[in-house]
Amino acid sequence: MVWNGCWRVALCFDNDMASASKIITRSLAFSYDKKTLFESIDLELPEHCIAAVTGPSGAGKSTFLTVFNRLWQEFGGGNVSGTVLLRFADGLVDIYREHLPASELRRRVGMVFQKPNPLPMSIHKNVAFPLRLAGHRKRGEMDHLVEKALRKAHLFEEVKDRLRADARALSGGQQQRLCIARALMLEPEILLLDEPTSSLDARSCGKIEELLDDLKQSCTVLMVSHYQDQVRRVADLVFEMTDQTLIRSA
Amino acid sequence: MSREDLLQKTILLCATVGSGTLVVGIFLLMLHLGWPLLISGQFFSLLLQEWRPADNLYGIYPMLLGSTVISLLALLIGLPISLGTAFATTVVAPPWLRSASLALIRYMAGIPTVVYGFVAVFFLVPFMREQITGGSGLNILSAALVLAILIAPTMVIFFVNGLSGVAKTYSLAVDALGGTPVQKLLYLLLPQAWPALTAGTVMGLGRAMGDTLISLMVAGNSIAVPGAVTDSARTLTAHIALVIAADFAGMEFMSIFSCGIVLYLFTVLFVSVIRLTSKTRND
Repeated sequence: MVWNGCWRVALCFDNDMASASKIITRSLAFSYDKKTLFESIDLELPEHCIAAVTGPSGAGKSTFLTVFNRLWQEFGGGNVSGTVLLRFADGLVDIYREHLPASELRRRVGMVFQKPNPLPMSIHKNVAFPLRLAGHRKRGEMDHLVEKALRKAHLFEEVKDRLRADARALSGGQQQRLCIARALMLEPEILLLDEPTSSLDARSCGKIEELLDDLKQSCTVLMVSHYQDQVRRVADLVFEMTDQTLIRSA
Repeated sequence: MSREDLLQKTILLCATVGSGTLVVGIFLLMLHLGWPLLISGQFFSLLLQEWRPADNLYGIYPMLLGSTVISLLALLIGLPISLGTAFATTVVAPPWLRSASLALIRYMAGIPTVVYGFVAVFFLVPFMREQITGGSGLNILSAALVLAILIAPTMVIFFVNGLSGVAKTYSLAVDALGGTPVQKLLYLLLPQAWPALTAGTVMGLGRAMGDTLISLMVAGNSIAVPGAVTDSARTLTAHIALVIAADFAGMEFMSIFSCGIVLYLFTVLFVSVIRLTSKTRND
């Protein structure tokens, strides 16, 4: 066990202790071009919590998030070592050792980016898109599921009359809630949020924070945030990325 | 505006107007030279007649058919190859292979046409003759195969530009939602890059239609109306090249202006298609 002045989550291979955890990392390290971005991260996050990661920009917080859906693999380069275990409904999965296709992993671990990124299609199609990717074909059911996801993201009332309009015409805050709705469409067990409010105004920001509290009921949320006050308001567990590792803040 | 600015603007404007006028000028010149054909109404009958100089028939129907079939067949073979290459290069291949294959494709685009023709005459034509079609081996299929390779780099470059022009944020969104590379191609890249894909395809078709040397060297230049892809054929361009040495005043020579006008109109048609598709997408 390593102590850094702050409390660090204990590295523990005892399965009893890990039994309630949703996300577990052991000696997690990430390097890019032989340069270590972070290392020795031992983390255990319980189910239905919001865990926030703060820290200076460029510390690797966003990359840290992409470790959990293996999205960093799309950028070329980079190397992960250590173990990442995610507890899905059907058991604990080592996402780097077991031959889990990236597409399947990403359907279970949703992600929302810093800048809202609706696809160039209608609101309805954006929200339905993940289901279409997953091979869902029933059209009648789709409308109902789209409405459900939009309601979960507190957006339905604002867009119900223009579901066929281009999603890019929405305001920034609406676009971000649309992206959250889209990420919720496949009912992910884990949701990764990369500074979801940093490009939004205070009002939109407030709406998303409200929403986060609801999301906790259905998923485990791991988020990166710049704003200390936001983190204090919404997060159950707070970590700081500093000196190339993750330490728990008081 | 300073004098220097004015000078620069004038030079650029002259260049633009100059090249534009040249294109129109070429058409007017061809129209002028082919005018006797047009006013006598022979132009349209030439399009449907066969080429039998002995019977005083100078129709370009066999060449029109030859050009159309060879270029469409070349496109049919070249398009899937080019699309696949472009997709592999932009999405699937590891970074080192991407730059290597792109460099190779750009290089391919610069190889002189005669080299392709030369290689075809020595390798493809004998193979065709002995293994597949029999006959001389100089036929529509041989020419279309070579043309397919000839037009592929042009198409690939257009396609790669189009596919890699699709915003990275969209691409990342599809990745994060669990899209496979093929799904990304079908649901995001193809619809988004549509104008570039159309432009590339039409450019490829235009290049196949306009190429002279390959059909001259490989298609066999028969003046008969082709009945199958294993038949020998002559294209409009090859016909111009072959007949240009004829008596300037003769009807035989006049007929090549109709070829020229037809080729020009095809180009206008192709360019209009590109303009129209990119316009409707933008609207």
